[in-house]
Amino acid sequence: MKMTRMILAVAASLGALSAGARPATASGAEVVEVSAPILPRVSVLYAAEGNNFPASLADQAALAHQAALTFDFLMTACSMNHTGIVIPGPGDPPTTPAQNAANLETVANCAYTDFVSKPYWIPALVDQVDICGTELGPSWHLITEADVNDVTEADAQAMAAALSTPNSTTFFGNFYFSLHVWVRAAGGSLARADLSPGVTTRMSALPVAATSTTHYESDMALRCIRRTPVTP
Amino acid sequence: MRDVCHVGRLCGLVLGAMVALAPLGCSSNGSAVSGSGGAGGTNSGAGGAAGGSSGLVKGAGGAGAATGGVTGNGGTTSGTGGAGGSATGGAGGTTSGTAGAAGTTSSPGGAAGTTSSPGGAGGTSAAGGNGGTAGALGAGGAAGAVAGPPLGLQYDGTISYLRVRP
Repeated sequence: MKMTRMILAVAASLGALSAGARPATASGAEVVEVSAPILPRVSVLYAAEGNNFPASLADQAALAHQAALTFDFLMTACSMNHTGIVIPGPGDPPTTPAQNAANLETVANCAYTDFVSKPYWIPALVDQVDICGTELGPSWHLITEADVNDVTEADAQAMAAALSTPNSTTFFGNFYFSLHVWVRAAGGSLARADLSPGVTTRMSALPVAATSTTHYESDMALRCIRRTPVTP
Repeated sequence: MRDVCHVGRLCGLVLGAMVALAPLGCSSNGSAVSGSGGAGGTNSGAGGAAGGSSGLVKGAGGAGAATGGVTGNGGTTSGTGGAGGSATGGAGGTTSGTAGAAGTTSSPGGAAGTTSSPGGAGGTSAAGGNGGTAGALGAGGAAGAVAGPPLGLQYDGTISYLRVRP
């Protein structure tokens, strides 16, 4: 009996030791959702930049909302003039990866051709207005430096794989398929991050002043993030 | 007593199996007492972690998510792999284990114990509970209830992925 207990104790110890080198528990899991880019309608944005940039926060918020084109809005709007968009209704089966890819590509195309949207936000607007919370809901926020620091290589590969649709390189790749994003840095300032696979230094300074009231032309997508813990 | 004797006869096999499985991480995260690992959720949920690590044989892996799950691994001895989601079936036990059935869509199922305890049941789109580490039956982790989206690119352009913290 003693021998049996000793062996069991050793077995338990080995189990505990080996557990430290193993993958994490499922109880430490979270579902991370990164939204499609929210692109501004430039015809709205450009008219309100520079000297015409609204002075009050309320007016800035109104401008951001008026300019912001969410994917949900575009799916419905674009489906009226473009084929290939599938919007599942209640009780419908889940869409297939091919349908999801077609949705992304079709909306990416339509957003530009029909709504003249480009990812050229006015930095001051992104800095001052909670565009993610306003457009997608309070559970969403602009990607933060903390979020970026938590992105693993596997996460980056998952995001890149999701965006590798059959025609991703021909559908305004810098607009809807970019993993260069606007970020709220730890100090509160706006910054830029690269969520692409293989990147060792993801965070970088915003090339322009965050107070700029002129639109900034780059490939930076305004993506939002929502993280939901998976609790046991 | 019969269980203890059974354990005694199997101890060599248990140790060997644990050492062999350690790098694979098939039986990690057991709780202090043996118990049930978590079953996967109904939609993109993560299954429970490891079941019991020693003691009785025939541990069952946690059931995978109804959609999109990956099955749990079987026990080291006569374990049954958890039922998985659509993607991948779980590995069976190292000895006489039965691989888990593949499921229908995408989340990880629960891993079975190294030897005996069954994997616990998980919740909808949530992680299942951890299994026990030794012998006797015990309660598995409570099922989670957080609803989660399927993984990958969604129809609305959202990219969803499951991150498991180290």
